[in-house]
Amino acid sequence: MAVLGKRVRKKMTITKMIMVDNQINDGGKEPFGEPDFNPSPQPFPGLPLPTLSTVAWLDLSDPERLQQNFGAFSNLPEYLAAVKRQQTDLNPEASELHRLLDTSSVQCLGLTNNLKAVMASLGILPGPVIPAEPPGMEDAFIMKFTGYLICHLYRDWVKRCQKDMALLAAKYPA
Amino acid sequence: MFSKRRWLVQVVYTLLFTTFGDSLVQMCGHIYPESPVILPIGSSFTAFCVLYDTCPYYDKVHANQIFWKTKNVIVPKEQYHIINQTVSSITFNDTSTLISPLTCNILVEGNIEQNIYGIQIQLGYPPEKPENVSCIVIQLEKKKIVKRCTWEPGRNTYLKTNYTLKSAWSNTNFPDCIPEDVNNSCTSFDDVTFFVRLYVWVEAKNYLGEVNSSHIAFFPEDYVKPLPPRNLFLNSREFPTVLRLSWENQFNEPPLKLKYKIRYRSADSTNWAEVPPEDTESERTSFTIQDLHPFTKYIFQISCAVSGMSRYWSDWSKEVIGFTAEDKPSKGPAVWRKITTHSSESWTLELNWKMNPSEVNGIILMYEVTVSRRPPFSLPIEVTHLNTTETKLILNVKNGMYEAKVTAYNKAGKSPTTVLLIPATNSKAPVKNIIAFPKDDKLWVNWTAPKDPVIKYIIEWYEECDSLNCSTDWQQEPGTKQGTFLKGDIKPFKCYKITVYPLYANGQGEERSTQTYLQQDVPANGPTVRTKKVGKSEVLLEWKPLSFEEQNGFIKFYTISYKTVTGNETVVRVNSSESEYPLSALSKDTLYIVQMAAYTEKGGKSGPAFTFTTKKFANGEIEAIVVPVCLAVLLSILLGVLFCFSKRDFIKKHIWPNVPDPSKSVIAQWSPQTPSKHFNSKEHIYPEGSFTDVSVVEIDADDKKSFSETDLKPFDMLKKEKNASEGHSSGIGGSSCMSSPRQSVSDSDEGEPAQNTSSTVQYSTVVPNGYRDQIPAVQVFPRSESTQPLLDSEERPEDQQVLGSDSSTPRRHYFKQNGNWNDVAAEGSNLEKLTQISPINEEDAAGLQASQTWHSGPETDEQGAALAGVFRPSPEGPTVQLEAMGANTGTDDEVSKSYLPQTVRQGGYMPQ
Repeated sequence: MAVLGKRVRKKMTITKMIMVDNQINDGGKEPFGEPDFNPSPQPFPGLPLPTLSTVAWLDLSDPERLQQNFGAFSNLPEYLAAVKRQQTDLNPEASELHRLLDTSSVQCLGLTNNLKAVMASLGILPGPVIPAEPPGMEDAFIMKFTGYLICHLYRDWVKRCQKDMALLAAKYPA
Repeated sequence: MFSKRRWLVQVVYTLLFTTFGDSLVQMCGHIYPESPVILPIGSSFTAFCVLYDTCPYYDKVHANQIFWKTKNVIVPKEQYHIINQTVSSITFNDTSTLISPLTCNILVEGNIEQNIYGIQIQLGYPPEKPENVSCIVIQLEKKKIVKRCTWEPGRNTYLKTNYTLKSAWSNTNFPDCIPEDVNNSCTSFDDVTFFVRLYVWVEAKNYLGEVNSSHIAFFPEDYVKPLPPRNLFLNSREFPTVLRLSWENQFNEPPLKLKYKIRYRSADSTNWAEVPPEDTESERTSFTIQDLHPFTKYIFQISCAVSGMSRYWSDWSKEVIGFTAEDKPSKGPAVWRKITTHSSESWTLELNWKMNPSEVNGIILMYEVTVSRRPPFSLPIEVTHLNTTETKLILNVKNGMYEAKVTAYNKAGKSPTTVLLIPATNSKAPVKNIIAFPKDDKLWVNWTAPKDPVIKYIIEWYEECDSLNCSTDWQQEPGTKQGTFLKGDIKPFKCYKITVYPLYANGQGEERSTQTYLQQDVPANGPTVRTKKVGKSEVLLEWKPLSFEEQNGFIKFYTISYKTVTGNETVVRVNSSESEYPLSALSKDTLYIVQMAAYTEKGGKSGPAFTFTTKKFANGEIEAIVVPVCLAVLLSILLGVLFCFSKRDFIKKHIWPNVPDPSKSVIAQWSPQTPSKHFNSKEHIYPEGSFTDVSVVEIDADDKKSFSETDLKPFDMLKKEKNASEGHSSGIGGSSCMSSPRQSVSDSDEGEPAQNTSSTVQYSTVVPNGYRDQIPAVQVFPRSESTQPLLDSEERPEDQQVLGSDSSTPRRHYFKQNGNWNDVAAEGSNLEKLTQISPINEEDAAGLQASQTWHSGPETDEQGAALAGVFRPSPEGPTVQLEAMGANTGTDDEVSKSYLPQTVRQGGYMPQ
């Protein structure tokens, strides 16, 4: 369990890192930079909304919690890769954004890897994951908006994961 | 001719074939397997040479004609195997000896080797499993973090072997990393993702095999070696003991945090001090270092690492230099004195002070010095008070107890005041067991503290030197110490004298000293030995002790080696305290070579050789021989002289016989015709001298000593005889005899008649012809008539010696005879008193004495009138020797008075 605790803490720090990266992604051109631009989040296939009521979240078991995270982060690399493809087309000069999208994709992969390790150490077999259906090349605005939604989901899932991991870490002290 | 030409064609053809065979020329066979053949070293290998059925270049050959070669060496037939008429195989059980290329050959006509085919063979090993795979995440630039893994590839495979570094997460494989130019490391420039366990392994692959290393798993954040912080800056902020170090981090990979190591040293030190790591565990960009030394130049460096489990630290950053501000001196100067006593009353007091550099805390602006007298206050209390930048003060003061106070000032303030009590005498207890020795290339002094509490110690030292001006250095140590290093320029091979003074609250203790070397060496020179005293078989050597400059260490002992030119060397070990040494049992009169060496603990050094020669004789030996010899010679001479003295008459008779003076011959009286007047006064003498028969000899008591017994005996006998013979002997005969009494005795023994006769004959012979061989007497005879002395020089010593006192008397008588005879009595008749002797006396005396003696006749015996007239006929001729005479006045007078009548009587005697 000590090993688990250590790993959970590490996961917490990785989620923080992802958030930092995400903040940059949040900035953008109009209308995305407008203060009143606040579209409601939308789920994607294999990438559900992370938000839950507190009671519902507390009712989740550890395996369920881990499985939800595992599913979301397993699909996020594909969605982020799709966003990067779109951004490469839309903003070929934004290399820092491209690099961050690449890094975030790799880090989601790393987080999935770690979630799997935690589940394995808790004796939980990862369940089947709903396959992702990443967006293709579309209208520029659609692509921008899709990218926004995906990055938003990414940020929300990182926050959710952080909370879940903190809960687990409390349950399994180092 | 034909066959030779054909052979040449064959050679050219073969050369062409071998050179261009592949491309231009049709092949006659081949080897299976084809090149390149790669074989594991040590494995077995079989190759087959297949001959083609048709070959355009030579007639059909059989497979058993094939021979195999490895490079240039023919492989033994035992390894061949003929499979059929066109195939020959060869088998190598151990390929480690197989040398490429392997060729299949035949011999063609003319016994020429013909190569059919060849293959290249490569030998090697399959790769070994790479071991010890390890990875490090290195920050190369601010945004460039790479992963570098290293491993041990194992033994050389001798073949091209590819190493590939593989890495993966449990759900993802990453691109391979392929090393360039090396086989033991690879650097991946892809981004490193932290917090995910990474699996890494190495795949090694060559023609002979493929192997993977063990997989290692690690979290990259634990293996990060970041770049060190840069742009360091130090700020003193005017605090004397505080510096603030600030920097810029180069590693910025949130959420990874950094921790730091900060080290610093003063500019004059090489030892780094490190800030406690727990103070710098959190990420930051500045740090304040406290407890630094004021007014000191400091050098700082910083290093960082990723917080947590990181096992690598960055390199040290570039150095940054800063200064702490000045502070007031933390301690007062160390003060010491040197006292030179001029008389019982006055001193020259030299005060010295110095600041310990670690306590100065700035630049000394001045020293405030006060010297005051301690009770009794018969004189003004304060001797001097001054501010100076010097570090010494020389005062001429009266003998007494003083107190010196010194305070140092710098920009920040003044130091505590140091007080040195200078008592008249150092009468307190000294330290004990002072000992000094080298330690860590410095000199360490140890001592045992006295019982009383000591405030501080002064350690004074100087390099021993032969000149008077050996500069002294000193240092102060706190009273709690019982040992210290000497803080100064201590040179090796120099002797240091170290003195420790304990300083008490109320005075100073006696000093105690020791000597030591930081490092010893062999002496620079050896002692110069020389001889102090050389004897026959021993010699005393001396030498001058080596000077301090030459010693280079404590002289432990000397060795003296000496030898003769050909002999064995003898070595003697001598205590170092000696300065001379006796060598004994040496050979006399021998050349010796002696050399001396001085030894320290490091070894010895010989001085110059010295040669000396032992003496032939020992001291006093010559004297011991010479002195007795001289003494013996002297003694023998003395004895000889004594003997001569005792035998002088005998010697004289033999060497200087008395020669009768013919002029005194009384022959005139012999012939009655010769008037006595012709002879005048001399006539008186001649008759006297001519009478030969000495009837009376009186020996004076005083002269007895000059006669030996043997002399006296004949005398007595003579006397008796003469007395007896007087009656019948003729006077002339007696006179002519002129012989010694002994001879007379012998004569008389032999026959008296002969004597008388001979006397008579002799005389008659003498007068005309000279007496025997005394011709000169005859020649000078006419001269003697003039009464001048004869043989003056000859006879004088005899006169002096023998006649002594009375010889002159006859002369006087003689002359008086001619003049006033009465004066004789008045003159003093003692013959012995007459010392003046004239040459003429002899002759006169002879006559006179004879006449006296004769005249006195038998009756003079009783009177004691002595006349030692001994007439001895010597071989050379008659000698008259008057050995001694004694005559009393009475006799003398009588003789003198009756002188003339004597002559007459003589004449009157003739009838006898």
